[in-house]
Order: sequence, then structure tokens, then C-alpha cells
Amino acid sequence: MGDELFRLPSSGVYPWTEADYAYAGWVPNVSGHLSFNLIDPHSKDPTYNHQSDLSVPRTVAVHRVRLAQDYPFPDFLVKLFRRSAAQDFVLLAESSRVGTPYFVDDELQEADDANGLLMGVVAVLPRDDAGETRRDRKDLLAAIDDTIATAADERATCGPNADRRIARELFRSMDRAREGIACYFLRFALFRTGELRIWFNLGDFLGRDLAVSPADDMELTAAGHLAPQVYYFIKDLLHAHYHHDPHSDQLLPLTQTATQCVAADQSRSEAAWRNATLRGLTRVVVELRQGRSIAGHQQAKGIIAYATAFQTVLARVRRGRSIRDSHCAETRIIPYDFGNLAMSLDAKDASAQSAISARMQFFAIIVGIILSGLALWAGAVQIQPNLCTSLGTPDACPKIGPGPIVSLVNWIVANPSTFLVILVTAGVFVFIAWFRGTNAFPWVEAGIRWLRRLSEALGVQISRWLYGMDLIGWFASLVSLGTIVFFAAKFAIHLAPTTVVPPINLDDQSAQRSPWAPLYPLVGQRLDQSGLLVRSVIAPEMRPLLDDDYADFLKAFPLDALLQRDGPLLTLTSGASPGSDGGYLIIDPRTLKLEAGLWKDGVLRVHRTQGKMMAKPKALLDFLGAASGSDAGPTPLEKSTCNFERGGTAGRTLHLSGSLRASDFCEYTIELHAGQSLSFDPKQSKGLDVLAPDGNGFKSIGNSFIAKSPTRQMIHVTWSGWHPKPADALKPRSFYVRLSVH
Amino acid sequence: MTEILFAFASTLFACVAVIVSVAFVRVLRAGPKKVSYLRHKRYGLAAWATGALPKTNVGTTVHELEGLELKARNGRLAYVRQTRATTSEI
Repeated sequence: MGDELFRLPSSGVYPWTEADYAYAGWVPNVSGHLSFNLIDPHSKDPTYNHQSDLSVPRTVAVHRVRLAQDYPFPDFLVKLFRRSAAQDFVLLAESSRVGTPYFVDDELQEADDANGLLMGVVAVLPRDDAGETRRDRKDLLAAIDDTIATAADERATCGPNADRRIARELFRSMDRAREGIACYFLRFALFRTGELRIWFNLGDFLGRDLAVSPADDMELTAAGHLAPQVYYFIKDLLHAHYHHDPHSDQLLPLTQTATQCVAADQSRSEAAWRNATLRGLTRVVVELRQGRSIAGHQQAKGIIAYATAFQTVLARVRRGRSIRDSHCAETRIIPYDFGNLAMSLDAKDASAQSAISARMQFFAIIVGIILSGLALWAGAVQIQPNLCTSLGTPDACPKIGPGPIVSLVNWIVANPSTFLVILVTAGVFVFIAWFRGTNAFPWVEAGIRWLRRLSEALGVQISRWLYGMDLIGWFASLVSLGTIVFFAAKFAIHLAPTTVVPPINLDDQSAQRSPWAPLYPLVGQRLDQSGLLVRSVIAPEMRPLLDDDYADFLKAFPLDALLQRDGPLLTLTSGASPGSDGGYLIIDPRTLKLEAGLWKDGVLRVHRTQGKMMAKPKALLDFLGAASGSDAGPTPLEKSTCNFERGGTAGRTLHLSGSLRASDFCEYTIELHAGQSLSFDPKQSKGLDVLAPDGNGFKSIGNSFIAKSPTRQMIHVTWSGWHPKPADALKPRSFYVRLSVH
Repeated sequence: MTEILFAFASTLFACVAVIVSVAFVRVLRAGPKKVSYLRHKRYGLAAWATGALPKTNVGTTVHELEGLELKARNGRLAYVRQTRATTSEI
């Protein structure tokens, strides 16, 4: 084969009309003229596409590995486990002279286009399992790549003859190699208008004499199904997928046309592929129009532009029976009114845009009102004290009481990162649900389609197992997606850095509504019956609260210790047992606060949840008094006491106070975020020092201490500048330290 | 720094939850009819995993993607498989 491979014969019928297999299709182009200069111009794969000047033919040689796979997995994975899905496609072609039809004032004209036809052959090489042929195939493909690369390097110097030599050399080398390796040839002719013809005789396709070695069933199957893959390959090379996903570029069909083997009237066959192309495009447009997505409407408009381009020329002309015949009018195609379709889409689009605009206004107004309201409230809160003071009646002005807004403000102050997470998520949700959907993000849309296909496959499978119970299948599909949503949301909540802020509800009713309300029925029960410290709703809170003192705290209580109630507060005491260790627990279900005290080796260690100190009920004060007296000797021995109070704006000032013996220390546990600093002024501390653990000992925090990570920081307050006389060594002295948290 | 990383990861998972919710809503809107349609096309887990939908006379081909797997041994075709998968692009 030589020129006849790359040129139409000068007379006679078109070669595809005499072939065993012949197909026709359209390579979409919106201008009505394909540019052969733009063949996959951005690809880094081997491509040779050169024309020295307009008077000589263009030569094209392309090698691509094409993955014809429909698995729900990415290409690189499929290549690994399914080698048969990947095939090598080599296209060799040259341009040549042909008549190109066009219309002037609705009158059919034909121009002599010197390079109006790109004609040649596409070779398809499947992978080979056998070692030797696999090597031969690999060597052949490497040689093809090498020839293309060399030609591309030398194209500026070698001229048109070198161009023509390349395609012919590559064809001959592949033809020779067909004796040993599987390589299937399909001929094609691509016209300037986008009209594509693919054809082959079975013997040429397989590369052998069928009389000697007839085609088997597998080869006949391949011959019957390979032409559409070649069509998609050529289309991918010349057509950018602006208006649809490249993976689903099968909107246009390749139609089998009349040949010697397919008994069909030639002219009816010519009308059939044009009709199929127009219907394929229109069907997509109508389906996209029926959808609610604006992006889909835009895609539909893009496809209408292509359909109009096809209808303007190719749908209205057909080739004459012989090559020498001119084009004639095609009258069997009923034209579509794409103008009206586009107007309908415009109207639908405008309506959708209007709805989006209305939603945007509504959203902006609502958000604006909420933000303005909160800003006004914040301003009022700030000016209220000054206003009342200036009026001379500060006590007459109402104080801000507890409530949901105050709780919300507290929560936002304590959880800035989580608040930001919620805002971003809400923004994404509003954008998707109210405004633009997911089409604005192609990867997101692809992910959603993948998930949807998976869930539908699951639903259909279950429906089939249940003999057609589609409702249950649909429900299963929903459950599968709902489960993913649930776990993703749960994981997001789990990861969000959250500081628990107890709600500010101080009335008795709120105590009954509290999550800790189930503790009230336990009042009067023994500790071993109620399981207060190990099984109740507060049990999970005890270990983080007490930390290293947890085990000692549990041991401090006898099994018959009773839970008592004083108003909304619940208390548990170990009982007064002079000279021994003990503990107490105060529970406030209204604010979800706990205070746990533990005496050990004569030292009281108090652990509290964040917030203001709780007022101790009388029964507990009696108990504490008894406990104080438990160490009574010849003279009453006073113990150190450690108090804690939070104050200042946003609770950023910690007031530590009490009475402390020279040899004692008060221990506190403070929750700090990463980067937060704890500082105090040693000059005002009057002999006190604040220590933090450092290695095996304790070290003064100096002016400040900065937390490197979120932590429950333990600190000790002790006397460093007070050295009492031995007689006063056991007497506690009042202390007060103010710490600032920034 | 850790807090910022955790906040970022949390935002990522929250967005995943929102995005999967979109698929959820689409399946909800499509209703059991879609399951019925796909069942008649003999879709299912096997068809999804292998990318091979059996050829049926139900529905239009616009929703289907076609592929062809070929493998040779010693230069002769040894394996052919035509695949067909659904696309929900349209």
C-alpha cells in the first residue's frame, strides 16, 4: 500500500462503499471547519503533525496508549489489574485535495480544498501475554516513538519529502510486524467538515489471507466493536471536551453504513448517520434542558452550537455516488429548530438566575439582620455600664442574665476554631444548596457521580435479591449514603477543637432538664448501689477531672457513703474520720459542674471544672468543719485552704486565694489552649510564687508561662519569700494571687 | 498549630459530609423509579465493579459508556470483552 492508503482514488466509488465494514460519524467542530493543525496540541505523548507549506500535504503520526475502561476506578489502578483494557493506538495520515461543500445564500457550493481531507490508517495493538511477542511489540512501539521524536526534531530541515517518508515508513514497519504480533488496521478519512469515515476489509484488518486462516469468533467480535473505539480516539485527538465530561464522550454515535456486506440502500444509509448524529446531539440538549442545573443549561447551549454547525452544512449535503461526482443536496433530514430550543433555554436560564438572585437577596438580608442585631446588642452591652454610671444609678440598671445568647457568646469565645469550622461548612452548604450546586467544582461533581453510582448499584443489587422490591433497594441506597454522611460529620465533630462550656441555667427547672438530672433519683442511695463514681452520667467526667488523684479519690469513699441533696446541688462526702484521708464531691446539674476535694497526707487537693466556684452547701461545710477538726491536737491545727475564682473579661483573670502554711502548697489545674500564656506579677505577690512541673521537679513560671499544646496545666502556689519562726511554721497565712490568661 | 490543623481537618470532613449529602438528595429525588430502571438494565454491584452492563433493550444508549478489552497471545487475539457502564452525567 502506498498512495492509496493516504489518498482517495481519482475516480470510481468511495473505498468505504466496497469494504466489508464501513462506518460514518462526525468529529464535532463548531465552526464547520476542522483545523488539522490542532491535533491534541497540548499532549506530551508522541505526536508528529507537520506541513512545510500549504502546497504540500500535512503528515500526521500519533501514538497513544488508550484505556477503554468503564471500571469505577481511576485509570492508573485499572492499568495495574486489567492490562487488557489498555491498547496502543497509532494513527498515520496525510492530507490531500478534496471538494469541500458550503452554502452561500442557501445555495450549495463546493470549493476545491487542497488539504480538505486527512486520510490514513489507525493501527490498534492490544497487549500480548507471551514473552517473545511482548518484547517484539514493545520494540516496535519504541521504534515508532523514536521515529516520531526524530522526525519532530528534524522537521524544520528535512522538508516535505521527509514528511511523506515518515508515515509510509511507519506503516511498512507495522505491516511487517503483523506477522508476529497482533496489530489491527482500520482505514479512515476525515474531511474538513468533520465527516469521518472508517472502513476496512477483514483480511486487511487482521493482516492475513482469510482463505488460508479464516477469522475466528473473537476476531470477528473485535472487528465488530473496534471501529467505535477508533472513532473516540480520533475525536479525542481533534475535539476539546468543553461541554461534557471527556470520559463520557459517547454522546454521538458511529453509524454503520451500507457496504457490500451490509445490505442497505446507499442513500438511506447516508441519511441514517446524519439523522443519528443530529438526534444524538438533540437528545442530550433536551435531557440537559429538563434538568434544573444552570451549568447543565450552559452545556446544552454549547451543544446546540455544535448541532447548528452540523445542521448548517453536513446535514444538508451528501456525497455523490462516485468520487468525481459533486456534492448534492440531502433532502431526507428533517431539520431541528435549534433557535427556539436556545430561546427556551435562555428563558429557563433567566428564570433560574432570577430565583438565585432572589435567594441571594433573601440570604443577604437575613444574614445582615442577624449580624446587625448582634452588633447592636454587643454595643448596648458595652455602653450600658457607662450610661448607668453617668446617670448615677448603676444598681438600677438590669444586669445581663443567663440565657441562650450569653451561652452562645461564651461558647464562641471558648471555641474560636470550631466556630470558624461551622461558618465555613455553612458557607459551603449554602453555596451548594441555594446557589450554584456542585457543577462549579468538576472534581466534586465527579466524586458525587461516583458515589451515586455505587449507592445505586447497591440499591439495585438488593432489589434484585429481593425479587424486585425497588422501594427497599432505594432505601438501602439512601442508607448507604446517609451512613457516609453520618460518619463524616461525626469525624468532623470529633476533630473540631472544642472546649466544653456548661450552659448558664441556674433555675431549678433547668436542673430537671439537665443531662445530669438522672442523678437526682440516686439521692439517699449508697455508693455501691448508685455506682455514682463509676457508672453514672458523671463517671466519664471524673477521670479527666481528677487525673492522677482518680484512684485515691475512689478509695477515699466508703461504700456506704450516701448521695445527698441540698436544693439543686448534690453532695457526697467520705464522712468525718479524724486522722485519716477523705474526700468530698459537689455536683451542680444546672451548670454541669463538679468540684472534687481529696485529703491525702494532710493536704487538701481540690479539682474543679472550669467556671466560677460553687457555693458549698451547709452539710458540706459541716463536714469540712469536722474534717478540719479531725486533726485537732492539744491546740487546734489549722489546715491550708485553696480557693479559686475566675473573673475579668471573658474569664481571663484567675483569682487564687486562701490560707497557706509556709511548708504547704495549693495545687490548681488550668485548661490552656496551645499558645495561651499564663502570667502574673511577682512584684505584687508579696512572697508568693507560682510553680509549674519541670522534669522531675517544679520551677517558677516567672513572669509568664506559655502552653505549647492544649493541656490541663497543673500549677502550685507556695510561699517563697516568707520564712516564719518555728512556732508559726504550722500557722497558715492568707494569700492572694492574680493570674492572667492570654 | 495543632489546633489549626485539627480545625482544617474538621472543615474537610464537614465539607465531605455536605457533598455526600448532595448525592443523598439526588438519590432521594430520583426515587425508587431509578432503581427500577437500572434493575431492568440488569445493573448491580457486579456491573458497577466490572464496568460491564449487560446489553438490554431498555433505555437509551446515551447513558452508557462503551469500552473494549483486548488481549493477544503469541500474536493472535486471545481475549475480547466489550464493556458497558452507566454514566449519570446527563
